[in-house]
Amino acid sequence: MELMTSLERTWAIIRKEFIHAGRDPRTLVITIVMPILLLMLLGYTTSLDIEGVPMAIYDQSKSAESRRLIEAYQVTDSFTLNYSPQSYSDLRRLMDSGQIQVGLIIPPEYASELAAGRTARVSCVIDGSNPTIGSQVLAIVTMVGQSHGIQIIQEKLGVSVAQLPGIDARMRVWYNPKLDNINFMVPAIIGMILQMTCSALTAGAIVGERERGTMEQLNVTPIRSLELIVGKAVPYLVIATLIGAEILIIGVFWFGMEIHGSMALLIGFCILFMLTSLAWGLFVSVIAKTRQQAQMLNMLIMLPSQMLSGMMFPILSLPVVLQYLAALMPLTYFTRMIRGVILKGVGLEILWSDIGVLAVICIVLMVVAGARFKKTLE
Amino acid sequence: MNLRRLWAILRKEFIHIVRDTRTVTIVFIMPLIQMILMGYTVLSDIKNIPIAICDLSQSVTSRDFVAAFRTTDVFDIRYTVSNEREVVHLLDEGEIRMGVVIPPDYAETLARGERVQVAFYLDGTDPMVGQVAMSSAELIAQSKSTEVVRRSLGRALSGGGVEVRPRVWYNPDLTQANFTIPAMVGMVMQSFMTQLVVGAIVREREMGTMEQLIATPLRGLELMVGKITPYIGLAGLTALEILVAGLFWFGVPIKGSFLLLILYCLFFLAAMLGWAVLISAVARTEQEARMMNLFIMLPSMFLSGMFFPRTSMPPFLQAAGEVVPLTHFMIMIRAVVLKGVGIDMVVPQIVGLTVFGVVSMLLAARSFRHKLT
Repeated sequence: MELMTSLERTWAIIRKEFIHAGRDPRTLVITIVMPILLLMLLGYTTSLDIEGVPMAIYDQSKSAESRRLIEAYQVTDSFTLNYSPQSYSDLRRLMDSGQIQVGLIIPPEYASELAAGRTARVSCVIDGSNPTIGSQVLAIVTMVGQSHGIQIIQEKLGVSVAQLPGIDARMRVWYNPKLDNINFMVPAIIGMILQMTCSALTAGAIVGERERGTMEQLNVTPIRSLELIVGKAVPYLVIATLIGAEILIIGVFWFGMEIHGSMALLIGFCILFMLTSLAWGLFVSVIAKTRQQAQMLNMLIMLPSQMLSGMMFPILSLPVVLQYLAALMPLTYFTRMIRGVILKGVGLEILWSDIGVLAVICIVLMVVAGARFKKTLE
Repeated sequence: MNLRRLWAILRKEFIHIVRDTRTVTIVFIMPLIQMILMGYTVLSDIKNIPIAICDLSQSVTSRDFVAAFRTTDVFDIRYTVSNEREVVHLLDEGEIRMGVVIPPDYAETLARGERVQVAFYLDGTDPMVGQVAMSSAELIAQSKSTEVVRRSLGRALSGGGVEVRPRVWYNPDLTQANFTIPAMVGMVMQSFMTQLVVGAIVREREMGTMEQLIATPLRGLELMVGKITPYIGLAGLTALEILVAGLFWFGVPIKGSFLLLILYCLFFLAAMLGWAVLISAVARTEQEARMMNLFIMLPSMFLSGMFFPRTSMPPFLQAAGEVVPLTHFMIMIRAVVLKGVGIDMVVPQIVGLTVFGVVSMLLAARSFRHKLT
């Protein structure tokens, strides 16, 4: 009987909260559309493939040999040959104005050097503004030249590639064989959205009540503080779950992402993370007096966790201070967990320590927030 | 336009700013925190990628191959293991990003003058790291191959072949910060500028004091100019702070003229002004305006080629990027900071920004007048 009335009271709060959310359709639409927009953007704009990098070749040799070298560069998809400048200053101009990112300079003595059996030196300038692209372009440009050189030697000696000694790099890319960025981004967006919805919206809902002065009204009703917390949190948990599912479904069916690990484990991780974010939201709502303050407090954890957790950006080494900071962020552990289960398909045997730490953070936050929450109500 | 009335509203707005110490602190501190955090994460160089080497050959030749991985700073050999299974385990745990397995017959095969296969196991979860690791590893393998070919044919042919000598311009050490910091300056400037202007206009409306202002003899234009000017000043200061902090803290050298740099920044702020006013005319509450700002910010970040190259995007997204003002500013700021070239190299970008600024200002003025009457 006691339980029934308690459930009834909680349900009343839940319904009230859903009505609140429904009355603000713009925010609701944004919360639902935002993940789709994010996914589409990240899915289509974050490719680092070296494709069609604009290139110019300044051919001073103008010989059959140099044209063959140019052809070797043309057949790769990596470059598009847009310009044939007639002087070094033309080339410089093209680079300076950003019309090309690679320039190859074939010297006048190219053909004669080759004919004499000497190594022909070709110089190449690369726009290093974007280091990630620059380093890859550097590798490709050098490799194309080298393999063309080997081909010339072979023709001279009349042997074929298979007969020559050498080292073949057999690349096996695991977990994400096509190096598809979407597979990296989907887990990231799930983490970001879950955190945002669970902590920001919950904190907003509770602090908003206090700001409007309706918290006192709630206090005089027979609702207990635990019922209030549960009632306030459930709607946002539901919304977060729906959005999480939305992202996962788009990822799998639109972008063809594969989930390698166990689905049950994935759902379990998400629930643990949502509860932790919720606990943070409650903690914020205890401290903050106005919604604006709550927002600032939320940003305080959101921004560093997105930056430091390795969720969005490759983090190979951090300064020590930031390492400690990262170790405090729930998102850091969730990142490893969700990537582990979705991409790597590993299970508890590897992820147990991350789960443990996250659970501890969750419980500590819950206890602290819960204790303070009671006091603020009384 | 009456100067006395304009001055009155200017003063009122300055008093607002000074009184609201919290916003002012936030405006000056937030961008700094943002820059520094991003500096260490987004901008971190893809270097020292942790790898494991499993050298089953244990010969002089194979050690020579391993040495190539030790000398480059792209890789960091964290583990030397004795069987393939350990490589797999380290990859699963996320301890390493790549494992190199040299077969037992490596030296013998090469000595026989045949091709040998070295296996690379690459963690593809993070494609950015994966790409760099892959191309660097392939380059090492190919260079070693060429060396081997040269050595074995050495007697038959002295030299021969083609040698490409690459030179990297503008950013010779391929430092990530040099690329991303100028971009960040643009992004932070855009986001704070919009937030400030939106805050000034929408808050007035939200508090209901806009009606009071309309009831005064102030004209629409005076109101707009008076309200916005102080915030442009504030945004300009923030921009300078970001610029100086970002460039100096991370040691980004400015190759071009500093004056030109400041000029570009102010020009960009001016072009974005109409946009900020447009948002504040459309949004009903501050919250809504902030949401809209975020909604615009995200696509601009990705479409502008701030982190990811526009050449790899599908054509329609490349076209969409042309409309984003940040795209043009990015090219301009990189031109002056990294390339050190003059204004004559960025004429198309200046034209693009001007068009954007004028069009958005006209639209803003129209919707603002509509709102006021």
